[in-house]
Amino acid sequence: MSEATDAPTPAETPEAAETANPHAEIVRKLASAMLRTAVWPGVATVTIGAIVATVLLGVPGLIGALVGGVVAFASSLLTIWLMRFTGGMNPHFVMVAALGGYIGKMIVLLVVMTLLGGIDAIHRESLAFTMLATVMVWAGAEVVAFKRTKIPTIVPGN
Amino acid sequence: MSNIVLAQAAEAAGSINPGLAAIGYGLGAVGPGIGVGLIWAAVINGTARQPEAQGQLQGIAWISFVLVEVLALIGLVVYFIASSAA
Repeated sequence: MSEATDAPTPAETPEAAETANPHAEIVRKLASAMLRTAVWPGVATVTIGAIVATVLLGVPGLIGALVGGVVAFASSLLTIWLMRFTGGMNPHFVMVAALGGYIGKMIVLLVVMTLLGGIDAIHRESLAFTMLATVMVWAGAEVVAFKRTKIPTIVPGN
Repeated sequence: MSNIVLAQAAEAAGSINPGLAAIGYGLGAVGPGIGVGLIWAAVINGTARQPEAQGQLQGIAWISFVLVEVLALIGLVVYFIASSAA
C-alpha cells in the first residue's frame, strides 16, 4: 500500500498534467470511438460507389468514385484530427480552431473540386455522389459512436 | 425565329450557370458557418456556468459540428454538379 502513496501524482510534470486532463481525455476518447466506428462503413461506401460507378460508367466512373472517396475521407479525417488536436484547449480556442478548420476546409475543397471538374478522365457525378454518400455515412456512424460512448461529467475534488 | 431566341436564351443560361452555382455555394456555406458559431458559443457559455461539464459539452459540440458541416458539404457537391452545365 505504501508504494502507491510514494508514486508521483500525475500533475507533477507538465506532460503528465496534459495527459491527465480529464476533459481532453474525454474528447480524445470520443474522437477515437468516432474514428473506429466510421472508418469501415466509409470504406464500404467508397467500395460500393466504385463498383456501381464502374458498372454504369466504366473507368471514368471508377476514377471519379475513388477520387470522391479520397476527398470525403480527407475531409472527415481532418475533423477527427482537429478534435484530437484541440482536446485539451479552452473552449475559446476550440471555437477558433473549429471555425478556422471549417473555413479552411471549405476553401480547399472548393478549389480542389473546381480543379477536378476540368479533368475529362473523371466522371463528375460519380465523384460527387460517392463523396456525398461517404460523408453522410461517416457522419451517421459518428453519431452512432457518440451515442454508444459514455461521457462522464467531471466533478472536481471527487 | 422563336427557335433562335430559345437557343440564345439557353446559351446565355449555360454561360451564367457556373456563376450562379458559385453564388449558391457561397450562400449555402453561410448557414453552416452561423450554426458552427452558435454551437461553440453555447459551449463557451455552458463551460463558464459549469466548468466540470467541459468535456461533455465539447463532445456534444463536436458531433453537432460534424452534422452541421455535412450541410456545407452538400452545398459543395450541389455546386460541383451545377457548375458542370456550362
